[in-house]
Amino acid sequence: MSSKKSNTIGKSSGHGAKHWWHQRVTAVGLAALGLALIYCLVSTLGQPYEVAVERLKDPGVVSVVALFILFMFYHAALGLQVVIEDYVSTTSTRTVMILIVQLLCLLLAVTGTVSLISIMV
Amino acid sequence: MKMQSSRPLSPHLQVYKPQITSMMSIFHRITGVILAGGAVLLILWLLALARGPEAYAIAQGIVTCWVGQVVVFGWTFCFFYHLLNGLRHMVWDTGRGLSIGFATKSAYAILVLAIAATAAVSYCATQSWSAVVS
Repeated sequence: MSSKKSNTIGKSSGHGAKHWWHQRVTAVGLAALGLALIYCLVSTLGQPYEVAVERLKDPGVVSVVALFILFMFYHAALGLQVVIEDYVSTTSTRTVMILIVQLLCLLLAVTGTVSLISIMV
Repeated sequence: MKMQSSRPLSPHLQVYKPQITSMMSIFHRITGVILAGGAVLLILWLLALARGPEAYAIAQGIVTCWVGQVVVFGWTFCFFYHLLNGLRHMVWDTGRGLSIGFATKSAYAILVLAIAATAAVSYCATQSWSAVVS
């Protein structure tokens, strides 16, 4: 439609499809991981410190939580990108917001994983 | 791409009658955003646990006070809603269930299931807090 340069910069075709597919893959993973997470955390959230720590040293629990964190922040980053693209019309603002969301998701995913390792060790 | 145009838009939200389908759709997006926000809190909780008993005590205080309880309960409902509606979306992705009948019936079924699941999890949570899990 438009032949402006602003519509031609960026990635070549196929990235919408990749985004769509990764969203579905992480969704399926999260369906299982989320239920497992709730199963693990429902008995842990109100417990005293010693009990919570013991729970989060169990390798099964740690695996579930770690995978959940990784899948979840990727899924969230993809989803939030679509939301931002829908509502923010200014290109520069939109780009910056997507960038910030992606960086925050990465930061939080790493922080969560490092916390898990720190508890295990 | 629209660059802050001042041209008028035709009315949409002002005139379109809300329906179960459109309400479920926007709520799916809203729950998604809420879940993302809640995940931040989950990471902070993990961080507090990793930091030690003093930090954990503060996190516990927040989680167990009534505001924290509302947040956890709300997040759980959003989780089940988003999960079930997400599955509904993926059924549509395969090309199935695109009739109005399926769309509306599954919508109501999801609302009932999400509420039931949240209630079940909340009940389990209260049970665990009075007994120490070994």
